[in-house]
Amino acid sequence: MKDIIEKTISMANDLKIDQCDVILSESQSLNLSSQEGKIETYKVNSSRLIGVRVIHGQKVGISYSEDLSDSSLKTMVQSALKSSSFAEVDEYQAITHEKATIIDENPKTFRDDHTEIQTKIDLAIQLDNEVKRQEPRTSAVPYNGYSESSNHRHYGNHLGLYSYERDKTFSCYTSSLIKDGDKQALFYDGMSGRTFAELNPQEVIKNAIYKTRILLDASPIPTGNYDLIFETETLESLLGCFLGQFSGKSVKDGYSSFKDSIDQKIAHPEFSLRDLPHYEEGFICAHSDSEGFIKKDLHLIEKGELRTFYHNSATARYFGVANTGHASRGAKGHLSTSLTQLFIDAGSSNNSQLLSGKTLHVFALEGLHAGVNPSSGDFSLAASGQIYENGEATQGVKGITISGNFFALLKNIEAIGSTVHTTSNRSFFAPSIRFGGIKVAGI
Amino acid sequence: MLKEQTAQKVINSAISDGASFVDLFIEKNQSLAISLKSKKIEQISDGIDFGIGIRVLFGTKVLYGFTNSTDEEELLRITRLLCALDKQGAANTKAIDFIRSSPLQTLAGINGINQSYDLDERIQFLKSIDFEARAVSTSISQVTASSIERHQQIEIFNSLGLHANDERFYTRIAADVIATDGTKKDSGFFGPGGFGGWELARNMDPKFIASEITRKALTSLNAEPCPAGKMPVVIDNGFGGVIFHEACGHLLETTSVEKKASVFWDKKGEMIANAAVNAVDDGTIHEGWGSIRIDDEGMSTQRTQLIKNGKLENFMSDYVGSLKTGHPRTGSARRQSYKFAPASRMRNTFIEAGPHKLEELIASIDNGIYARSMGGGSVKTGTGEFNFSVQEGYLIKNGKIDKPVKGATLIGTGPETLSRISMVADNFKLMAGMCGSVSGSIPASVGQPAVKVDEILVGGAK
Repeated sequence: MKDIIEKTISMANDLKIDQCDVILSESQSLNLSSQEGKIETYKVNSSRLIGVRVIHGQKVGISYSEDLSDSSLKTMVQSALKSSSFAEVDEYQAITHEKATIIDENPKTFRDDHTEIQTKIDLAIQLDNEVKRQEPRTSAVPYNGYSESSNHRHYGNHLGLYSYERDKTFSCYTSSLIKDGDKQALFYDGMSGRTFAELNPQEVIKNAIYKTRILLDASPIPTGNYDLIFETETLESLLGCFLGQFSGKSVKDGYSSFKDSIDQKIAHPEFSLRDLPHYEEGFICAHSDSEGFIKKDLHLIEKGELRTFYHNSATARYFGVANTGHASRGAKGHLSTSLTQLFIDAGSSNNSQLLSGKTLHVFALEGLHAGVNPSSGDFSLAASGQIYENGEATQGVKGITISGNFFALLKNIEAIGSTVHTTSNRSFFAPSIRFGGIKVAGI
Repeated sequence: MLKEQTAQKVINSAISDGASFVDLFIEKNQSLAISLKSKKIEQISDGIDFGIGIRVLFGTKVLYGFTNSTDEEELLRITRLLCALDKQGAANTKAIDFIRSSPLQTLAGINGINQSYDLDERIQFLKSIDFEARAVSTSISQVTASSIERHQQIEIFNSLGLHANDERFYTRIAADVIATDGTKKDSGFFGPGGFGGWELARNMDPKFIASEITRKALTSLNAEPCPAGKMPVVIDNGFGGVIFHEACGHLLETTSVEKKASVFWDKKGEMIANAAVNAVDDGTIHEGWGSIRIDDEGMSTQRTQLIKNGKLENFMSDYVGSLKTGHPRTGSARRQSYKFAPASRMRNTFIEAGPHKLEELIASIDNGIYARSMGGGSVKTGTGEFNFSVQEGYLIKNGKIDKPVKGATLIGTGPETLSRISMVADNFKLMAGMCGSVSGSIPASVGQPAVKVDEILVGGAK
């Protein structure tokens, strides 16, 4: 693939284009799902995509192609050049990272795995059969299956930089739709691993059934203010909607409310949030960003104070600060920024402090793509979970909404637990956090 | 795009391995996206996607693979790989004589990106939106405006002898603003689109787009948090149709019906909604964002009456859905691209107009919410539980529209909510959106006139 990148850059040089870089991504995947004890779908996929960004006269143009033939590559480069001629001058975007070869074949993110296909099929069928065996009231297992994917990412630029990274992920998921009289409930759960052997289908089945049983007997609670503890997965989902507030690009474009908040108190004094791209326990650890720069560990919030934004080279140039190596760009898209693996530091509260009195534990949030406003920080979401009283689960809860504001949420922390948990795909690490006085709408 | 002879060999290979059905979906997709931010063109990008999806059925078991190559050997390799585990020995095969579907009428008057196109015109259009939005108020601190255009060519072969071609054009404008007041920020979005070329944008008024996005942002900026609790709600026309899309539409796709993962799977012929409700999924609407001429299995699309006077009349079905459920195909097989196997999906889905005026719906409520503009939502098809957000909302007090409120979410279940739609207005309107499901993200319109839901749970921070 390196030769295709070099060929594309050479075509750009022939057109005397000032600067260019090329992203070539390859992916392979296998997806299996089962119904009624038989394989229902079996999908084998392989795809490649190349994209070029040209900067000519400080104007940016982008083009891509799924056809890697010479004629298509040439058309792609010409098209990007034509597009750039219509763009306006962007004095901050530049390709400056010079000649180097960075090949990151991290064995932890891409492990050899020789599991037979039949074993994978057996797993997909087991997910369906076992849910029904362990919970006879299951009327359907609408979502269940096994999938694996490997991704290869090549980057090259006109200054001779070439980088390559790869990763491979295995995952399985299942669900349980239980009907009992007039009551019905559905929950699904999944997990990921770096190898097939890391998958624990029994754990996934157990959790899907456990949560569905809670929801089957759950009911709305009275409307009012409650202290909430989000399960790690839901905390990641909710925070994920507002992480753009910390992006140098969002600050530059006027979307972030944190523009003038560096070194100011924006969260509870015990709250520290870091991005750790090289943390190998995580599943999306990565060495370099989409411009070929080495990613840096960042302290976004330290003991409640905002320390920095995350930057690509263009936003760093705009603000006159150091590039943090958080450039993000797909083969089809323009230069942006993104975080990798977030880590909230452990706090000082033990379980009895965290769980004293009445708390609502939220294990499912719905409508995250619509019920949050990343600009204002407002959120209003359908939720399910359990009421705990002094550490004991006393009632399943569903048919409610939780509403609040992200900026207030960061400050309204009552307690931070001392043990760090992770999500099933190991992309987010956080202790249990008790948030005070969140509005719940129910009965 | 693919030689008939190659298609024949690939299909025969699978049939000779015992497959009961095979189809090939060949797609070439040209796209152009332009975005403007901070008064400047931020990005112009274009490109071509091309690939072939191969679907092989053994009974109702679906095997699917895809490639970017038209090479016969590569297509045969994938087909053999798909069939390897289910191979049933040599079947009696004979060469398929493809019967090419009657050529579809040439799409006239469409200024698609398959022809030479004027980038300057597009850039000026986006700049006009920016100018008009900033002229509304000094509180408008950022404007983003984008145009997205696609020209999709498809070709389909199947083992029943079908050979069909079509081309589709899509144009959408997406615009949003940020309104700022001190430390407060809020946003407004509007995204009109349709089946057609740039002539659709020429018929749009940048000033109207600017007024929509600025009104939403400025209203929310100064709104109080929405009160929480159960109350009557009037959901206005256009994107308000997302309530039906989420609460009912997804539950009527055989994709969920075939798994009994829909609360309506066994309710055909029964009353599932208030008698005031008539609902349709229609792929034939002129310039409809969700319109198609043939579906992604090569079947002519149609208008499908889903609910008539509250009674469930039809489901939306694709080939596999029909095999599994017995419900007839409705020309509803759709997919994001060749990377996805087709599934039964919505096209332009809406509640039909009723006899009332919007003012009558508002006047019938003492204390409630008027949801003038909706955001998106989602549904759990197995239980019918849905949620969707209100982008622009107002209190209703004593039959009149009162103060604006923000941060409202409506939740409920499909069957419950459909039975509580007691009044339907006459101000029908469709709006463009993107719908995500098993076969990817596809253009789909939602629509309705204003409807009154007698009681629904409103989530809000007050």
